[in-house]
Amino acid sequence: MKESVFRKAVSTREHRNEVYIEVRKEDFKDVCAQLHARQHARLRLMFATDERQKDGHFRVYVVFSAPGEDRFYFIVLPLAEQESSFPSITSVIPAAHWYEREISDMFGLVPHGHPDQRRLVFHESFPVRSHPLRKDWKIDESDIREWGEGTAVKVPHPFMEVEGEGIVEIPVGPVHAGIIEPGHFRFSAVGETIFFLEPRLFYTHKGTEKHFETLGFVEGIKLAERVSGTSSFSHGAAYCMAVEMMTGTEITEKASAVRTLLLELERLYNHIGDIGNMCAGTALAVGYMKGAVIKERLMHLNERLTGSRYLRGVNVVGGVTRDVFAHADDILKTLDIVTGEYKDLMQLLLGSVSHIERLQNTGRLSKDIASKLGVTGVAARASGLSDDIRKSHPHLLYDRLIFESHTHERGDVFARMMIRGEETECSISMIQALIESGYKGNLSVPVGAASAYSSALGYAETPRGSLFYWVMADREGKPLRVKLRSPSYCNWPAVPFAVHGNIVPDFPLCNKSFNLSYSGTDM
Amino acid sequence: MLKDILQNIISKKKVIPFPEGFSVTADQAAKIVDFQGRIDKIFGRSLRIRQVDAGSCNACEWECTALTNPIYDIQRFGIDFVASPRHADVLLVTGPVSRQMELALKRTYIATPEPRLVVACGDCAKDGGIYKGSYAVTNGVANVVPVDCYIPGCPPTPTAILLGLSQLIDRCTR
Amino acid sequence: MSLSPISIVSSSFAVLLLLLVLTLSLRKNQRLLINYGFSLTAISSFLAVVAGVWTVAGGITDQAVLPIGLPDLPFHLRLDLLSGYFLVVVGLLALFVSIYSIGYVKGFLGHRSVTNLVVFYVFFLAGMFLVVMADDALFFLIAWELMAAASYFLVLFEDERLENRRAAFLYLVIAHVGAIAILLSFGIMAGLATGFKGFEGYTFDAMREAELPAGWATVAFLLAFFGFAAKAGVIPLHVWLPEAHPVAPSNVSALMSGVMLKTAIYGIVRVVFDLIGVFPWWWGALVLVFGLVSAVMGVLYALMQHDLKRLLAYHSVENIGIILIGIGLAMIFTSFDMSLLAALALIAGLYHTLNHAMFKGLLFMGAGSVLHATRERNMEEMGGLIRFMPWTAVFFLVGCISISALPPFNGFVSEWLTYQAFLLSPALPNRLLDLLIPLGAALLALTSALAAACFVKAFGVTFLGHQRGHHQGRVHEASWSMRIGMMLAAVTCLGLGVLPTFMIRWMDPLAEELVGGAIAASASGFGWMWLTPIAAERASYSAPIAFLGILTIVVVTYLLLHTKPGAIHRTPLWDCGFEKVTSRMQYTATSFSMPLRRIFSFLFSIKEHTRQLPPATNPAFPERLHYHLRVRDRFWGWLYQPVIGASFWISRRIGRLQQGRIQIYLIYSFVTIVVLLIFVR
Repeated sequence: MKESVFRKAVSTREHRNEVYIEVRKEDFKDVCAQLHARQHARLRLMFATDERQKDGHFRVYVVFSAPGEDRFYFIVLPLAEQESSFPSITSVIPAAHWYEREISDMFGLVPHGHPDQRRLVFHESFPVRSHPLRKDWKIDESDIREWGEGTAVKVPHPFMEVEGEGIVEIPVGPVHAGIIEPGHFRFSAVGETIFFLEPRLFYTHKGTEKHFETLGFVEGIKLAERVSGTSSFSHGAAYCMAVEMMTGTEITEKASAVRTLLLELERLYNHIGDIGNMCAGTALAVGYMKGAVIKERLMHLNERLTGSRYLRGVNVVGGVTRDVFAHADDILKTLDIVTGEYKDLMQLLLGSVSHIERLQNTGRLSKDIASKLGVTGVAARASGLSDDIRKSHPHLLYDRLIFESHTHERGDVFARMMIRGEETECSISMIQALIESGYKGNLSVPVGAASAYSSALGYAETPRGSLFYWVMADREGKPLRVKLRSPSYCNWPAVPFAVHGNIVPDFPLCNKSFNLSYSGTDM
Repeated sequence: MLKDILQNIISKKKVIPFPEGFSVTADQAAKIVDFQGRIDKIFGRSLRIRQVDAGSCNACEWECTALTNPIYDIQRFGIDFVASPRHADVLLVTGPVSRQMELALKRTYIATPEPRLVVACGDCAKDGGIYKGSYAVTNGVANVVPVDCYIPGCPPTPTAILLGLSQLIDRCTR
Repeated sequence: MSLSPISIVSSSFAVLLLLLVLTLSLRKNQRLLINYGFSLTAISSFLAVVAGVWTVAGGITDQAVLPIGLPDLPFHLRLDLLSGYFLVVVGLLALFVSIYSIGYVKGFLGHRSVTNLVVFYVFFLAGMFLVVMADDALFFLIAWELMAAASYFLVLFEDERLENRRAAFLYLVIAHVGAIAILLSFGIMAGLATGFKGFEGYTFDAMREAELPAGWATVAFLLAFFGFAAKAGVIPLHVWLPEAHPVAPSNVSALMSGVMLKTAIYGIVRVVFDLIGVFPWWWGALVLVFGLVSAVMGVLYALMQHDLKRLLAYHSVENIGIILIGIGLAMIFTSFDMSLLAALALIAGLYHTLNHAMFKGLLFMGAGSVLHATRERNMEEMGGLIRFMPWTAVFFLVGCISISALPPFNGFVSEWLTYQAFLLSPALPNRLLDLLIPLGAALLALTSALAAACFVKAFGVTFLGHQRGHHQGRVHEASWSMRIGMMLAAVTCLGLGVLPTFMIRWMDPLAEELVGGAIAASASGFGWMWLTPIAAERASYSAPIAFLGILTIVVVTYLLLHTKPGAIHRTPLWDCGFEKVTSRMQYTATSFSMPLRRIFSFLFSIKEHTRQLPPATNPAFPERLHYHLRVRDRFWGWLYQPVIGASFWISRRIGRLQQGRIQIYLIYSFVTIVVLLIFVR
């Protein structure tokens, strides 16, 4: 089967577990469709690069990974400088729809045949024919002022209007009522029932990918840690992995162990916090507060271990800065307390019928939609898709650890809570298992220079799902392109489907059950 | 706790215990304790904050949320986060202010009744932080709306935010 | 001829006759026809009101035998207290509506001839006046048919629309089914009055004197109740009402909904209390149950409507229900010889009859002004009209508050009296009634609350917020005469609400005549300020104080806010920082009623779905979505479809008799003659 894919390849290249297959424009859609349909390969990410300084081409990369195989297939489509469009694969792989619109915004390469030709990242007042990730892009002062003022409509962005009588549109955001990130939601409802929801995000777009290019690979870690607050460590780890893979740096066992432990600790504090937060959606204040206290306890542990409540400053390219195993006793003691409190909390929640009834059958995301839209992480596993990059592409010390990847079938808010609960217990035992053995090696190793036009993929399983960084060096070994794909970016398009048919007051609950990052999506 | 409550009733004094985890020095604690009295004087018992995320990474938001948990319990100082700028005395802005949030932030500022105070919370909010120089940010809240107070940190801890607010009140007293 | 109520009524009819003659000469000048025509109907109505007020106040009963009629069967006319009261009800609203019509009907100028409208309007008024004054079965039915036929043609006024023709036909069918039942009922009573020997029993006097056997009395009552219920729109005979009332010109809708339905109430009261006189308790219980069902279901159906006039039509069903509750209670109490409570309940019912005429007339006039201005009946297309038609909005609001039974307006007084009748009722010698009466009180409370919800929706969606529809620029305030008509009705609503003790003192002789009890002495036992039905220690309400209290609060608030400069600070709406707010972001009528639609879904037949247009190949990317909601009356499926089906089935069977061959028809004739010979011999 794979033969047919390779037969159409113009050239192929392998680098560790990455296979780059360059194809012709006319074969591009077919190859992607075949991989997706016959191999059940999952679309992991899709992006473009401006490699004109290398060979005068833009390139579109589509990354797949097939189940049961630790390999990433990069389908590469080179586009000559004068070409302004590429064939859209959204009609065969719906998960590609945001990626393609993003490429259109960032590179001016239009996905030919995409059902939604509106902008994705940029709002109405962003100048026309302005594409920041092109190497020759510049924006002038008056354009940027108008962009900020936000009143000049340069490209209109019509929301979909549900036709028929009696529909009321409820606009919410970007400034919400709670202490959350900005985003605009447009509900088309009749009374309380939501018939259609269209989110409009990218309010927090900060030009992160472009900014990576100016910072350099070593400094970039600081930016990676600040892409999404509560996944700071995962972002750091995935970014470092990508750069280390590109430069061929092997980090020590010790550094791997520290990263694995802190990844699980990050998952732990997020999951418990999220379980508590869902109680805020059902007005179960006692559960909310209990969750907040446990989370705070873990945040204190984070601070004692790393000096940062968000585990920042530990990852560096080539290793880590702190040996958290020196605090093994502290970790174990805190975990004991947390385990007890967590069990109390779950007992309380599962015993509160009013709470559980609100969660059950609310915000159901079907397996079909979840797999079509490429949903990842907790949301995917709650809808019956086994998607865990720790299992499918073992990295760090995950191949040595024994853990289970849980799935539920119902896809409702309750399933997402239960998945978090099961993973919480799993993470606690993984941390305890990690502490039991000793690890060799220094904290970090020196990093070599990146060779010209080398590239690599880094990844991690954040509390929200799989995270990818793909980096590419230019001729001088400086960043040519840093592509990051946070799990929230995959899951946002699925939220409207989970919300349809629910009532407006359940939206915050659904939203909290996904707990997606806006900043990670908006970049 | 019962003892504390009893003591409160008898002495008519407000005892503010600092639970485990609320790490403050004696000096800072003293500042926070008479905080409430000062808010009383200026704002008539309560200080209402509208938090606006203008492009932060969400860490600052979680620290604000943490302020409302039972350990920091910001409400006991008469401070609370409100849902609408219409009800707010203070705008607490986080993030470097992305261009696409600039208008929304200005509108929120206009919607806040006077007298209003603006706090820029976090390193990004001060000058853009790590994002300084990116095409899509305005490099700090002060470039969009007038700022009365900065709270440093990436993200500032809950205690730091509380102390920052205390300083803000100090400045108003003077 | 000396001045007496009956002579005033005669002059009122003379004015109407004069108008008919004038119409012949004026029909070339339509504008003048409208001015003269509706001025004269206003004068005629005013005379009727004067006669009615005088009759009731003076306790006068006057009879006359007209020189016209069939040979040996002259027409009898009688102006007694009940007739007088209903003359006031009909005349008062007809007066206001006639003034309103001067402006309203001018809207048709240039589109179509209004001669028909004026002529049938006159016949309609005359029919209603005659119905309440007729004193024999024949004259009553002729007047009844005159009223029905005239209103049928009025519904059909804009006959180019299929919708109107269907509605008018449905109305005609149900009106005639009802008329047949009434005819049969009178036939039984007249026949028994003379023992089926001769026609003298056709006068009401003869029926009054006759003692009916209980069985026949029940049959007569049931037929009369069925016939009048069909006219009144009692559920399940209400289906014509939401079809016919919205499509008629609004001044006609106001009269049909406001007073024509009341002639049926008149009929029930006349037959039950006057003609039959003695009856068992369960008649009252039957009326009460139908009243309760109509009240609750009427308001629930009203809540589902977003056609403003249809909504009002369903509210007529509800209010007829409330009136019937009062009358049913009065019947129950009368049958147990509790004349004081019977008087209270009857006065409550009749008071509500007048009140409903006022506020429903007012609301239909308001809806007519909106229709006139926007050419739109659909509330989902309105919004923000208060800015363009402030007067209409204020008058409509008065109507809304009145119909929602909120003080200080009139709806509150009569519904409060109905509650008092419920609450003051002692333990009755019947278990079923002891269960029914508290349940009835609870259902009435539910009705009032739902009505208030419905009018929050009706007023809010129509007049507040931003414009939704595409009628910008066209919208204008109602003309002067329309505003005067509405204002008079609004002022009457307030007057009836603030001065109930005077009303009750005026109505008291009527109650005394019909049920033998009087409550005026106890009701105003603490002076005109306090309404204390039956006993002051049980319940009291001071309408003037409530009114002054509300007025004071409003005035003080206004002065506090509006006299201080800068006290009111206008700022843009807080829109969550999103600047593009559109009129689609306002709550719609459909949305407003959604929770109630869900709770009471078993009462409606609801079809609700969203479709993708065109059927999308990829469900992730719908191109267009379409939402569709249809709420229908369940009674269509439960009652009418089977009846329609059955009549078609029978028609087809009977159609087989029509072979088209002369021999067969001759055999039919022969068989008929043989059968007749056997029986008639």
